[in-house]
Amino acid sequence: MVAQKITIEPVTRIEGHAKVTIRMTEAGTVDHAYLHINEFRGFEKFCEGRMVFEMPLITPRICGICPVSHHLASAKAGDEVMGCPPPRTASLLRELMHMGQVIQSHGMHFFELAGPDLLLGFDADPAIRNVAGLLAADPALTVKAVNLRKFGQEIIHTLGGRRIHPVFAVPGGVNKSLHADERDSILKDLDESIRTIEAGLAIMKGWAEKNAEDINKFGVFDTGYFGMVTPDNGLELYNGNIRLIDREGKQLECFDPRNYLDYIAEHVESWSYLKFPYYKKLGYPQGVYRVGPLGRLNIAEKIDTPKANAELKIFKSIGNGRPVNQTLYYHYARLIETLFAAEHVAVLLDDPDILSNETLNTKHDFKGHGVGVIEAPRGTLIHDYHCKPNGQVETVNLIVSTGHNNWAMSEAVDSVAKTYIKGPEVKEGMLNRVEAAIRAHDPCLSCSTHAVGEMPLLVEMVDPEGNVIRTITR
Amino acid sequence: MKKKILLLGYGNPNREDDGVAWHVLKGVAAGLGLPVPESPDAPIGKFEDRIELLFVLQLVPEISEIISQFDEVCFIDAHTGEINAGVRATEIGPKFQNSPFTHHLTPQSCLELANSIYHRTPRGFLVSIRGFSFQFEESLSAETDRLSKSAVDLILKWIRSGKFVETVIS
Repeated sequence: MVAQKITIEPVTRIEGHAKVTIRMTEAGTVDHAYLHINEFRGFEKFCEGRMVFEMPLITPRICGICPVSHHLASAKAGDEVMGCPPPRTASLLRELMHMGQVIQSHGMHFFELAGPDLLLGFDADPAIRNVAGLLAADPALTVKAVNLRKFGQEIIHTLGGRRIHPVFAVPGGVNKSLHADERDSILKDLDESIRTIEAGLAIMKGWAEKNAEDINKFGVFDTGYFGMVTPDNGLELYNGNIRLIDREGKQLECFDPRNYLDYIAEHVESWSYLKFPYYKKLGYPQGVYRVGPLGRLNIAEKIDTPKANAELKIFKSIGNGRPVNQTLYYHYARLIETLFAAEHVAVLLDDPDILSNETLNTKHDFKGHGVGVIEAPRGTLIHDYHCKPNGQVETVNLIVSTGHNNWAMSEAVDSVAKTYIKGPEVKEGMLNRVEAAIRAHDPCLSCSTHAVGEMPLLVEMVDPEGNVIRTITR
Repeated sequence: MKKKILLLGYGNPNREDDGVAWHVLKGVAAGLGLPVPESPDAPIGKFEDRIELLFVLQLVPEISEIISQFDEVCFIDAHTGEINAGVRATEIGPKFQNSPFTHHLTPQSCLELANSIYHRTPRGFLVSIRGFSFQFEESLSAETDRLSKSAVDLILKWIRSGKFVETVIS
């Protein structure tokens, strides 16, 4: 039998798409699998020459799914550039908006993207392994899931005032205060949202119990873990130091995110346009790490809300004192974070300063350089601007969450392909698992553009001479 | 009773032709005598209180709730060279379509969600316009700009006549 290469690619994407190549050995086993991702450095160039106060409006257009993360990271960078730290109320309101973003994004991912895999099974027919199939299987849950996402979106809409891009955070604060009736309107739906998240957690835990064998051989590997923490190493999504732990859970660093370049470097592989960030002191690939829900729960020692903290303790027990390293537990971690975000909404809305009108610091002490860091739903998001004295942006560096997870996603794809693909006959269930390895990370491959059409997968098997010997599209 | 119609454009107005739907909606607003919005974020008015124009960056699940409140929904988007037409207007139905790696939703999937969750399925139409360039620009390429005007004419003709005609313009 000849050696062959299988390529899995969403074929209609204009830019920023991923492609999986699975190179087979002559014996019909997987030699190596690669995940290739296009990078979108173009947006950084697009921002150069703009005014720094415009950046929170421009950068959300990078992404249709997590515009709020870019909006807030950009405003934080702007605070630094202009030397105008926001008043406490502004920080609370930004954080509230961020919780809305986490709830809607995580909620959509678990119930509408990952849910069909978990509830209907990896081997289910793709025609029903989707949210419509989920709806048929559990209509009440699906309606609740849509309402959960809507709850998060309503928080964003209440503060941002627009349906497409929020116009809310500006360097120095926010341009709208919260009214008592708006606060009460958010609170009205909070309990129902928490119940939906708890229902998701029950599903996740039940599924994990029944599928322990799959979980323990599906993309299981050690890395470091990276993310933001509170001063006492609690889960933090908006503002804090970055903590980095090693594969055993030992702290390597805890640093001010402004100094990220002292700790992170980026490796280049010939087979991917997206660079591979790693911890400088350990080098590449020893210094690779994971971000996002799994990374954050591994670096956090506690969560400052009761229900989520109780769930964290259960989650931590999986690792027996070591970090949890199973890729499929990204889903579990994501739900615990969603629970934290919902509980934290209540904490923020209960703060006596939340309704204050002191939302903007108009005194500037121009610094010219600013770094804004936030824990976006998919992981640590870094905006780094250098500006001229008139506020015009000279250079922009963006490190997006999917970039941090680049190595881990590729490793997960390789691991899953080697575990599940045996022989030249590639079955649906095998491909579903390869897809699921990527999906677990909830990558943002490129929401910047799209066009009419589905995103089918193209699977090509290629012999050593480059001849396509088999093509599967679905 | 006259039908309630939603004209739902989507795309990224910062990525040149990807945002063509925004330009089409502006043209339709002008053709209906509505104030033309200055930015994609600004709300667009209603015509005769029954025809609503809405622009979003991307289709998301909760839009199915909005869709379910209309009798007819016309999605407006860009298409690439894989579709051999300058402008294509077709009727579409509810059908869930997979987007394995991303949060991308198709119009057909949105109709299916409206049907499944809210038990209402408006008639669906898709008007798509060929995009030629997807750079970081806010204006359209000359070719797509020309085609967008044909799309505006087509939509206005449909609204005025009440009859949607499947059309391909090269």
